[in-house]
Amino acid sequence: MKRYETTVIVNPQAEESQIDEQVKSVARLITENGGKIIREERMGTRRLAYPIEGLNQGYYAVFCYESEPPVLPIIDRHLKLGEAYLRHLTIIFDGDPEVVYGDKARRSFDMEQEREREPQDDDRRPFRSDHRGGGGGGRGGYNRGSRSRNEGF
Amino acid sequence: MPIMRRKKICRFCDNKIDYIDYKDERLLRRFVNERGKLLPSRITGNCAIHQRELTRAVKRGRIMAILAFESESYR
Repeated sequence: MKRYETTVIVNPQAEESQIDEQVKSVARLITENGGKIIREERMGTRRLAYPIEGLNQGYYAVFCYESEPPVLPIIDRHLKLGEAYLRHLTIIFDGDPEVVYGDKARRSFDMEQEREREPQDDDRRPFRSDHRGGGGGGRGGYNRGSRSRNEGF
Repeated sequence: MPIMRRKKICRFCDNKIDYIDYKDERLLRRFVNERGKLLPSRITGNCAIHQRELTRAVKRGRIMAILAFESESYR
């Protein structure tokens, strides 16, 4: 048994019950083939970074499960054939489910760092660019060092 | 006087993060520029191991439309 993580993006324009059914069918496929679902996470409808099949939003669902490797092509085939699935990705999952889905560690990483470090930050650190609000300093990091700071790019 | 440079530390090592989740948009966002390109570790200070993991996560994120492959809207 290996641990995998499959994320699927389902067309959000279908009815809610239908979306639910599409997601559940993946779960069924995993368990029917002897897999064990460790975690099922519905990220819900969120904006796509770029349009897929003309859609700007997608319904995300994540499965973390243990399964035998030969099951993956079965799942993959199902997801490829299903018209409602906009996209899917299966990876070997070597993280800690508690951390990844629990959101605890990540959040502390986000917050603590910002609070702790910000005062000593020299203004050119790239990480801050998105906190400064759009349009501002922008891509700080690229013009470090001996090159002069060139906002215009 | 020598130029004082802040010593760069790998933010992942520092926070003991060993797995970078490709679905964590907020985290990944800080390591790409406005166009969606990966920032070099030279600038972010990531260690090689984590930069590699990060690259993988960003590329996965792009496939799953969590991050853009490219974005024109800059400046």
